Amino acid sequence: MKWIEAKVIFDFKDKQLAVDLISNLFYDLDLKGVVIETPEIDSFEDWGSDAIIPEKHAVIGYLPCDDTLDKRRKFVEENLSRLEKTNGIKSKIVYSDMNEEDWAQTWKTYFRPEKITANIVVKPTWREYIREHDEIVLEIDPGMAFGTGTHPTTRMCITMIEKYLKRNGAFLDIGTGSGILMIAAAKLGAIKVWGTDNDNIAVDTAYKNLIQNRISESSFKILAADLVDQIAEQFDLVAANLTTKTILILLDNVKRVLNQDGIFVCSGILETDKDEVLKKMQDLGFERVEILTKEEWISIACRSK
Amino acid sequence: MAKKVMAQIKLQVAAGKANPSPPIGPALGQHGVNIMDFCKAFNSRTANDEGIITPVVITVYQDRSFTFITKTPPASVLLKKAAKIAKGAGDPKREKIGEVTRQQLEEIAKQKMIDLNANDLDAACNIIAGTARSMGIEVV
Repeated sequence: MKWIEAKVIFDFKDKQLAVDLISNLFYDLDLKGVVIETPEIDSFEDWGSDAIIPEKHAVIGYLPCDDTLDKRRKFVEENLSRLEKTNGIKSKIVYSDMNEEDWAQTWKTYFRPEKITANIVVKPTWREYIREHDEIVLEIDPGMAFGTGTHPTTRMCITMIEKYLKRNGAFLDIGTGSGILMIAAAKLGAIKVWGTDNDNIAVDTAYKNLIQNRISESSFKILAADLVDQIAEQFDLVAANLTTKTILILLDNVKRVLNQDGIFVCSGILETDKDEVLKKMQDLGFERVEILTKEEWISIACRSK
Repeated sequence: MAKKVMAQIKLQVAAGKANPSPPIGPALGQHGVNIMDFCKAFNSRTANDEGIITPVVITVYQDRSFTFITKTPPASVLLKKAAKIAKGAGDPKREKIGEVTRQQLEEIAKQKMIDLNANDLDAACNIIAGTARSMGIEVV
């Protein structure tokens, strides 16, 4: 998809007011966010000699290239003139073309193979990696889906799957994103690997990644669905790397998809929310098995009784 | 040795709803930041205010790792919410687009106090009132 970057460079004494009023124009166009550029640097930080610092004060909005573009550009331009007349905010607008691939590709240059547990390596599909001994290599192209393997929450999930997944077990990943946890489970010996995601892009990405990793199509299934809504079967291990809020909702229904004594691994929980999640697990009759902590995140494994 | 800073990215995005679309994708991608890792962390930390436009400052280090802090929502966003208006444009000299009470103004000032360059609540109220006026929102 193509976008137009609309950069409004402004000159006004009260920078905050100018940012507020200019960004407000973009919000009136239903944009979901803006970038603010400021040449002032935070002196508390230790800046590198090659640091990138903007030259001028600016507010940047991104307009999709569709049939509303001309109307939107006109709206911004007219209202910038109005802001100059009524508030004295002098500005000029600079447009440039943006391709979605551009930023997705730039980021990829910094994603390299990484060992995430003693025996598991995550390798971007576009990198070379020579496997050592009996290492398990997960090949991932996350595209625009969650799950690169480098995030602490994903690492903790994989650590727990490695520990609690029974060989020939059935595994379900709720909110699978790039499919990384499904791939890990399949390579760790699960014979039935299912995943759900409410984002169609993620469902496609996960499918491609599973095929890339030569996981047999007869052993996996990815459903475009909310949490466990479409799942009627039971699994030995269910994983969910989401957010606290979603996990609290999921807890009400997750027992339905777990076998007797099945393990539920949940991650993406901030340490500050730990007590709330543990209390709900206890109230619902889950048995706590293990808690892992990394940076500000925790992962919990519990057993369905 | 402490990690050196390569860039600071300032964004305003909807709390709890970050995704790789603009502005996050292009702003972070050009500095080599793992876009989805940021989205996940931001969405977790801001889940309680879902949907509210929230300023965030992301500090990017030379190894492409990052930290971020969130700030209070922009005054214009809080004013529009208080005045129950969806859009804030139009010519404020000609057109009044809505109104907020003095009490609502004070509540916004209190909420924003931590991020405003104001010595006391009165000064903070004056700043917010200035924004309201510029937007065509009247304080009643």
